[in-house]
Amino acid sequence: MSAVPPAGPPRAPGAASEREVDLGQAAVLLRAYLRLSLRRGSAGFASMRRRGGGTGLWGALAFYVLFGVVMGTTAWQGMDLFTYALLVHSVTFFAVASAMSLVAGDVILNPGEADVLGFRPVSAATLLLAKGANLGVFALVLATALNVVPMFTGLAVRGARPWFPVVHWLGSAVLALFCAALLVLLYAALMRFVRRDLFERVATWAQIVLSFGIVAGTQVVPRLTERYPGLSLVSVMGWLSPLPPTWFAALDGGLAGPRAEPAMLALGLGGCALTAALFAVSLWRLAPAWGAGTAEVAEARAVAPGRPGARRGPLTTVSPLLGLWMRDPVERTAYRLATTYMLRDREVMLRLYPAVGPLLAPLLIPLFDTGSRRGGVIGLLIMATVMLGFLPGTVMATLELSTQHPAAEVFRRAPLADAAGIFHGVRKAVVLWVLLPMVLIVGVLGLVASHGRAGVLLSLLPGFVLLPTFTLLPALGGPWVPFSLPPMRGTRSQRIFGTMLPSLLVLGGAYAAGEAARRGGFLPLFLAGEVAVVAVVHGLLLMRVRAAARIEPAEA
Amino acid sequence: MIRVQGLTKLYGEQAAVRDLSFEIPTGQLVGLLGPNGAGKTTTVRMLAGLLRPTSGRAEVLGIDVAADPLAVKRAIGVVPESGAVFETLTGWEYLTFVAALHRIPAGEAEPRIERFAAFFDLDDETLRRKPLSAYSKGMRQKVVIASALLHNPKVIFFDEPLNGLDANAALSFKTLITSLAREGRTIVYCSHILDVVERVCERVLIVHQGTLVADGTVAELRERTGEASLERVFNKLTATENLLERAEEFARALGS
Repeated sequence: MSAVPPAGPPRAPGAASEREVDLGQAAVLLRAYLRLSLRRGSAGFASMRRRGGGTGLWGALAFYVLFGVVMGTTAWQGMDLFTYALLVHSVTFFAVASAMSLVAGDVILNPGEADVLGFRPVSAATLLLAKGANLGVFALVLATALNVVPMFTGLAVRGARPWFPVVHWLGSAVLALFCAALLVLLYAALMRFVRRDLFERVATWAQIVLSFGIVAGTQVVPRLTERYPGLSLVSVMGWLSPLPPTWFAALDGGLAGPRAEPAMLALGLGGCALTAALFAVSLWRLAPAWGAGTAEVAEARAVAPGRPGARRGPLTTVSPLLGLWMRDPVERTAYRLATTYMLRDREVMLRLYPAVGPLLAPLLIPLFDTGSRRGGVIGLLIMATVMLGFLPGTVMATLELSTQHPAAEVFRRAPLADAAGIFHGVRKAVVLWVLLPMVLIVGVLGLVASHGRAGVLLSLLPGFVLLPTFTLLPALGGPWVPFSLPPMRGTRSQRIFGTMLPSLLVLGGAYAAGEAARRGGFLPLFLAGEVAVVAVVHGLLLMRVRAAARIEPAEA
Repeated sequence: MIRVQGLTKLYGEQAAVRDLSFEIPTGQLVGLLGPNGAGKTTTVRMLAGLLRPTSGRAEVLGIDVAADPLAVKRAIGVVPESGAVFETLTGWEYLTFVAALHRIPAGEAEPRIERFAAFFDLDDETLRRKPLSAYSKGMRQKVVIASALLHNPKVIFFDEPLNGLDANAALSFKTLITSLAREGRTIVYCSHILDVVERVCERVLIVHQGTLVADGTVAELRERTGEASLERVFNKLTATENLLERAEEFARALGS
């Protein structure tokens, strides 16, 4: 045997072969990823899963098409083509980027995948391309569903050429790919430049900040369309050019508008080039470090010594006061589990915080828009209250999913007759750490936005009274168990959309009744009556939750 | 042939593997042993090109694992301890997927998969129709083993391969790996089932706290330590003191 060369430092990150892209392998991987995404994951908790099937994706797509119909009606509001396209692309960008940011962490950084694919002869660039394509296909499907109506109604906008639908769809497709490229780049860059032991925390917060940035950024355009009489934003295109939707609206305006303006074409083609550049940088510059880093993150997690933050903190402790609210030890345990995961688990944080972000948007707009009329502020406050109505459902749906879903078998093995205690513990954690702070934020921001007119807020009280009862809704369909379902695309969206209309009707009605009572001078009496009725309904629902939460023996 | 010299993997200041050196000639079946967290899996991951060493060098079939991990991955097969698979795929879909990643043409891959299925008594209907999530642990492990051997690798790493296998399947597997070694495959076998290692492995490496503490045949290690079995050798080299007394005390405390 020949002698081994002397030990030396490792080579710089990224063997050359890790930058090679094998399109055949990428296609094989993409096919597998799409199969995995579209098939219903089979959790070990199958028999405790609620009734109702489907992947949830079809329901979500139907909602996107419906939303597109609403957007499409703006074609008859007298906007020019650029402004119309900008509005539609802004909404597309917001919807697609928000949806994708919720799944990107699972797709791009899945340390558990290292034991399936890590030992296969697949370069990091090929794997990242397949993951980017997987995200891209998802984004493309959502963007198409959202734009299928507006791209045809756009023909009604003045100056639109007959080929506008094709150009607009292509623009929205590239915009969707841009969203995918941005997220791939974000993860690959963080893996390249951030220390391994800090990676998970930095990646989590970077994605949360990005989600909030997307929400805030996409609120600019709808506000501007209200500000500019004549509904034309062409004159401020330069100012809007940092926003990605502007690039693709410019492409629409340049290729399918009344005149092929060079500035618009340049901006549009620039957007396409930037999308390609983001993918190229990710694949050829950052992929090797990403590939090496993904394997190391899982390994480092096991080897690295625990950090002080991993100890049980005051937030996860059930204080004596909270103990009065949660007498059942099962509830207290579930409360601690949910609080710990909301504070510490990357996967949960990445689903939870970006999901809550969009709900804050209607409140933030009037703060930064001093010109808002009183009626507008009230409308936004009602909208915020309605959103609070489906906040518990949103958060609970998030806490039901986990890539570690087989571990939820622990609840079946526990000697529990039903899952009601588990549900209430998690529900109370959501009430305490999400709903209550959001109600306070709505109150404070509402006071500021309404310039101290407290009367406006009093009319919202009947809606607030209903919120605790809304938190019971997620468990009415069957046993609700945290972290028991595999993450499936569209499931969360479908649940949110399912609760959206009832929330809108009930909380909108509560506001109308509260406003009438306030004007009639009998609001306190109305509130007292409402509390009594809600208490009865709440009690009945609690019984229904217990009945629905029975854990039956597994069938398979 | 595997050559390792001064192999080290650090996470911050924590060493998962420290200054590991050994050589495994072609066709040898070697047991890589160590207590939990000793660094066995990290070592396998570095040798398989999945993890980059912090320092030192490793070669598999003459290929530097840090310089060309893809070439290493083409030549090796790995059965990871986790037994992870894409659970939503059927067994057949998963195996054809792995074959495609190894660039085995479909016409060649399918008869191979059928041969593995016959060897492991995998029911064809189950293999083709049911998702892996519906398989028993043992059946899934058979699929994982098949996926590691499909491309006929020259070097194979098994990390707890008997996980979930029934007695018959375990016996078939043990016969299979000794036959594979006889036919010139180099095999690294990580396990905590020491009597199996004692029976099938020609040589044993024991890692403790990231460093190599023993290297030799079972007979050599027994002679060197003066112990009667591999289990006692392992216990002497890696266990904390008074293990039996502590276990008895714990059982008493649990009962009270």
